[in-house]
Amino acid sequence: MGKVWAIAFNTFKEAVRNRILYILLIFAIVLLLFSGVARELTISAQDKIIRSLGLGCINIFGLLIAVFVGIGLVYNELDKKTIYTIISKPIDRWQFILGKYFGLLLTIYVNILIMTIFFYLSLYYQTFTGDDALNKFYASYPRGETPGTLAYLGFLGWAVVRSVALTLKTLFFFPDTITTGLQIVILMTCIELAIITAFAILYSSFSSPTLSAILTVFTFVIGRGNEDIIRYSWYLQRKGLTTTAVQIKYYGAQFVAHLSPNLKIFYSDTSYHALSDPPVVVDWCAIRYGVLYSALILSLAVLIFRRRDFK
Amino acid sequence: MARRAFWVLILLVWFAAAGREIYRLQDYQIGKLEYARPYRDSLALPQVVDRDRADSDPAEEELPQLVSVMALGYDNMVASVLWMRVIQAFGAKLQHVRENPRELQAIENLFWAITELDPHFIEAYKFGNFVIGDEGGDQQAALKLLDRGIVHNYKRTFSLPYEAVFITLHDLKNYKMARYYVRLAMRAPDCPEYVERIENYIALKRGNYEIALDRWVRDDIEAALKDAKHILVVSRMQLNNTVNQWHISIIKAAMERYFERHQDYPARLEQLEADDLIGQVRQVNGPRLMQLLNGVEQVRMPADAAVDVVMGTKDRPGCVFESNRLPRDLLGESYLLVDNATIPQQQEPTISDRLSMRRRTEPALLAIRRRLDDYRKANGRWPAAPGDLPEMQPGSRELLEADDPAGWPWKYNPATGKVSSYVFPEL
Repeated sequence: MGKVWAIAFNTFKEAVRNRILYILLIFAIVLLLFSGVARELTISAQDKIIRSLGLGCINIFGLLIAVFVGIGLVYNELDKKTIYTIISKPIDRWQFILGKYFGLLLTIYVNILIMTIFFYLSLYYQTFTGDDALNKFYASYPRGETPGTLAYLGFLGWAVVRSVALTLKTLFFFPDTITTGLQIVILMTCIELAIITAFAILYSSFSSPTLSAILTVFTFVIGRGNEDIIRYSWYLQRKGLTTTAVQIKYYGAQFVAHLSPNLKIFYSDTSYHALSDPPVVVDWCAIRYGVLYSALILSLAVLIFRRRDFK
Repeated sequence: MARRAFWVLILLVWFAAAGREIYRLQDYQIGKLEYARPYRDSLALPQVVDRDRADSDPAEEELPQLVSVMALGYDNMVASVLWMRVIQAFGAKLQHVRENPRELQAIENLFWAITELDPHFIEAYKFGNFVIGDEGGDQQAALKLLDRGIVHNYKRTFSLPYEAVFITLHDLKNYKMARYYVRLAMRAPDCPEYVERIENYIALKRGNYEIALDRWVRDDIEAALKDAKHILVVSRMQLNNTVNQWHISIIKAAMERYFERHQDYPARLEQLEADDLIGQVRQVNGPRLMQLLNGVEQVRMPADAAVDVVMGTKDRPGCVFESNRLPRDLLGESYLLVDNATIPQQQEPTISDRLSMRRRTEPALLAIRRRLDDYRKANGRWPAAPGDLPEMQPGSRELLEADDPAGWPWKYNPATGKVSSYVFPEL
């Protein structure tokens, strides 16, 4: 396993030198901070807007990193012939694939962590400088008096300090009412990205980066539309499986729905906010599904990579 | 060779076991799918839902469901983006939504799409109700959207059924539905106490006066037990209102019977009693109601027992009794036939209770007296009639009424300048 970690760590070091990663990360952070600005465009439900946009950004950019960094990992080794120096060492091919996979996963998770920190900061900052907080701040002054620039800057500064403190607290698994359940949503995103990364590695083990990117994105789209494929098969069943063509469609849809990854199960509803709402809970069934699916895809990638001729 | 066969076997077992488990887990997830979303044969999207067509409806057109398919799982995010879009769209077309039904329908579609993507988006239902119902004037469509929200957020919030109560109560005048929504609202844990009291209004509106009285009596007693003074003020006011509405409905029914018999309305209410037109009806003994209510509140009797004392049981009479006499108000005073002095006969007169009429007469009388004093100071004499006051001339900034609120002319003595009311000479 030590060899796997060595490759994983090197993959991580290699990935963090990738310029695409930084562009995506900066873009993600800007968008995350923009979700705070977006509250000005709404008349209510500001917290919901910030949450959903923030979580959506984390998911989308995690996916983009998985696709654009993942597709080139194996291909670059082959293209630059560096694979020869690796396989000439006592390293098995499965160790190489697993190392690449975990290295990429580490890169994605570090990026998610960074995005999560900015997301929490944005969420807390928007709460502490939101309308309620501002009204409270103004109300602390006698009627007719307005706070000076220094006092206002002090108010903003204090909001930043509190945001940082609470972000750290939340990161160490002590969430408060604002961030309750968000870790679970982000955890599910991580599991979903583990599957996507496995697919990226699988495709890059036998095809070019462009084709890998297309195939990975297609897999993602099918995975997210998995439940709708099932509904389509139900729709056909309701209409009646009268002709052979309809039967082929029905069984085809059922087959695809069971074969493709069901990525919809990693989606959690974060719009619950009433006190009576049930807390967001970890879906262990989905986690087991995600881990098993990733393992299966990686096994397939290893199998293909083992049979590959590098001459 | 044997080693290779072993590894192939291991791999086969692994693939079979993992594949089977994945299939089982996926089957489990499919089983959890709550409802079968309608599926279209094509992705051809109708631009707007045309509600003029009988078969057209946002829910049936499946447009929102298609948006959900295309959101690719980013349902909350897309809902948020559409939410911001709908706010901007409404802001831009605020003036035109009522004039242009197609624009309203386009905005309505957006609300259906948002709530399909995020069925727990409470604000979207509330704002949708405001845009479609209040601004767009389509209360039925607004109610439909709220209904959807209530189903998806059952017991989560009282606010959605509460909004529906107002539509059914004030716009649709469907009191049965209003009562249903009040009951739904009351099931939510965040439901405030005042929502329950809306049921009293509904009972009153539906003509269930005795039920309304029973409920207000209970609220009054509970408020007294909790020392909730503001609720006590409201409940006393509503008790008076309920008794008046109840009794006036009895008098009106008798008046209709009088009209059928005489082809005219009576000049005095006592004529109804003289003709025995009231009938043996249940009515409230106002002074007894107040006496019983004050009694039970003074000894701080538990609410259930206290309501029985006030409203009466089979064995012990309360404030409600059967009689063929003219009903009287909460203070035991008779009701007034308003405007009978001025309006032509054959026109149904208005009936009012003395208390509210006195409350209206008092300030009117005070205003006339003040102006009479001003007139005397300016002219050195009293006017010949109240109608000579400049404030009673058309076009005056402060226009005083020539008659009292009951419709009688003011009783005036030009020698002394004293003015009073025929109906309330004590004022």
